[in-house]
Amino acid sequence: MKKGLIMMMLCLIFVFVSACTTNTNSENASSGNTKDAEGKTKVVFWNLFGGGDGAVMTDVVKQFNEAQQDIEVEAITQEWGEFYTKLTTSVLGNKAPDLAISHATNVLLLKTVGVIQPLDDEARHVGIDFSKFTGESPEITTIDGDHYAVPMDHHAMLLFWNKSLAEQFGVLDDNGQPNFSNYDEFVQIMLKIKEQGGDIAPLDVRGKGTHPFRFWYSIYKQMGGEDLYDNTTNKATIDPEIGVKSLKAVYDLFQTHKVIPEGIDKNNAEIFINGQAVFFISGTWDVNNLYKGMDDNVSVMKFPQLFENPGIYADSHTFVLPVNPNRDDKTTEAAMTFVKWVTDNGWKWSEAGHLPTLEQVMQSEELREQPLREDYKDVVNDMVFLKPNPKVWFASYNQLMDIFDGVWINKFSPEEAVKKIEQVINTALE
Amino acid sequence: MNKTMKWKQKSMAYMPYYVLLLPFVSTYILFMLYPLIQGFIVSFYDWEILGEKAYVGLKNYIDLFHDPVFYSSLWHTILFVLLSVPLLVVVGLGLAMIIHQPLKGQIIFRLIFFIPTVLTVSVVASVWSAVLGSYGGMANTIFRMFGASQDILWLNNPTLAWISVIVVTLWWTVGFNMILYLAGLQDIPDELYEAARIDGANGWQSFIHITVPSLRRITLLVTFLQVVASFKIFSQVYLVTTGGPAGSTRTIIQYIYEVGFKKYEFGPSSAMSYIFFFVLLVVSMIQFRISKERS
Repeated sequence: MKKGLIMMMLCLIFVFVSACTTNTNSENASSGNTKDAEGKTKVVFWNLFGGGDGAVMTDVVKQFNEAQQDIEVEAITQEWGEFYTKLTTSVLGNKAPDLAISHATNVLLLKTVGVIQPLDDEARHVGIDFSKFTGESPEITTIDGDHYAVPMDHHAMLLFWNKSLAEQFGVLDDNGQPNFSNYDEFVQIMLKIKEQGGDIAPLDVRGKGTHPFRFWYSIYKQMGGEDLYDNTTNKATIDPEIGVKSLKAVYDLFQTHKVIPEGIDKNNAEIFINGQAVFFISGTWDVNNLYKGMDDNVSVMKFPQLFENPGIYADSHTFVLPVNPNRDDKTTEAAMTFVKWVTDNGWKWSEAGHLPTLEQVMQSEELREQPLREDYKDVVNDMVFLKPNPKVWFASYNQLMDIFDGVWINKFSPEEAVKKIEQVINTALE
Repeated sequence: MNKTMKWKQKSMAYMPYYVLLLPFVSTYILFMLYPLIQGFIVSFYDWEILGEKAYVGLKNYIDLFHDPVFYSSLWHTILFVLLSVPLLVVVGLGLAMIIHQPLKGQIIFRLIFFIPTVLTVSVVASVWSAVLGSYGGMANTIFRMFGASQDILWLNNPTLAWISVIVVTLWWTVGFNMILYLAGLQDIPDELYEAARIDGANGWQSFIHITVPSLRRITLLVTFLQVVASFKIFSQVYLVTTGGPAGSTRTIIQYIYEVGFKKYEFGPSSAMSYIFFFVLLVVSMIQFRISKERS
């Protein structure tokens, strides 16, 4: 009798454990858009901000909700890798949110698939002036004369360094900046650190995925490389010679000189914060948590120009309106009001490290007061965006990333890789 | 007249059973049969999810034959089956044999080996990512405590990534095979072993001549289930290695997912599913034939 009871309890515990480990994140909130209990207009807003970014966005939304009485924005975060899949399937299933984030380079694809709608009228209705936004984003998110997105930020690659370690290894100049002006000198100081460094890594870069891809793309563009594909011919147009040279430049850091330790993945920021690396290549998205972890011991500059031309991989987070027949005009207006507030008060979102898209905010006192911003604000002058394509978002295309990953782990040579890159892009676009 | 009445009576007698089956059958038709047929239809279309759907005949299937990633993904899945099935069957049997001994705390051992099977894949992947991760992963930390000078990059090297995937799957699912074998072992009468001992047989001989033959049915069942389960591998690989490094552990289901839900190309994605379905059908028929012959 007792044994039976124990067995029953155990069974119930098992059932409970397996039932409770389901992912309760997202599906719940979709729009249906009426006012909530307090008479406020509810706006369901999906974004892809996790970690430090996520905390800042949550705060921004909270500030907006508290600053006025008519609108309640409900922000839901979907995981970065699955965000667009979920957004698209939500539109398909008629359960789309009212407002969403999109990378500027992905807007063309979302529009082509039918996930988002133009928003000229809706934006102008609340006073948004598209001519005030800086950079390429307004242009690349205008399709057939219609605006499909409101740019919220610019995020780009940056070079961070640990001040005390850099001083210790003698790699800074009299101005406290890293002592190199081109690729060869860059390699030299990395090798210098490697010789003296012991356990401390000269350069911290993730060994796979989007980070090293963006690093490569910046270098490819700095060497004068053409766009990777042509949207009219649907063919890969990667410059073979520059492709090989640029791949080799990054490959050498990983494999030939071995100044980047192997196998760094999602712990890249942690490694740098723990003082296990001198230099760190990442982006604006890490500024916030690096400063929190290292305070004034972290220094930053825009991603360096190592070759003939300037070029820094960048993208822009933008606001888009998902196609949603359930969203009424009041809610659309409320959503756009939120958009205007966020962009006008762009320094609030810039707490996350990304830079605002309105010039007046770039020059504002509030932005100046945020730590480190002045050191890398100039990154916006050299930004290069991946070319948008209506069929594939190559910025996150696994089959393409795999080829690059293969180069970093020495599975393919740069020459082999360029051929494979052409192949993958051609297959993807046919 | 009499026959029809009898038939009617019989039908009426069985009516309650049909009624009880109805919920399951309707759910089955709605969620299994209908998508099965619909998916097959989709595979002949250029299926734009929010636009015009154009009929393209066999184009999706033909294009796949030129796709190197399709071949590599299918091969990775087959390789996984070839490596994992023998391992999971043998280790399952091994664990069952060990636990079958009259040890103290037998129930606790059974629990320890069986509990992982109850966990969902997200939990398993989270735990093992923390174990196998570089720069502070549990496995490397332990190795360093025993004097290792360098981290082993479990997820950075194609061979090691394969080993990792197999170890994770083994840890997660071998308990199920173990339980099946335990049940089978308990059915073998002790007298057989006693008789063998009297005849002078040692442990190994008893194992080969008594245990293994008696477990034939269970072994067939375990192998059959394991082959199908191994072919369906996706989630733990996707969550631990994301198909990497550099695509070397990408399975066919992951590719089906990526083409369908990342590129939004449901036509080719469905076509792949059906080719895979066909492969599984052939494998199952072969297994069925073998088991029929054996018994």
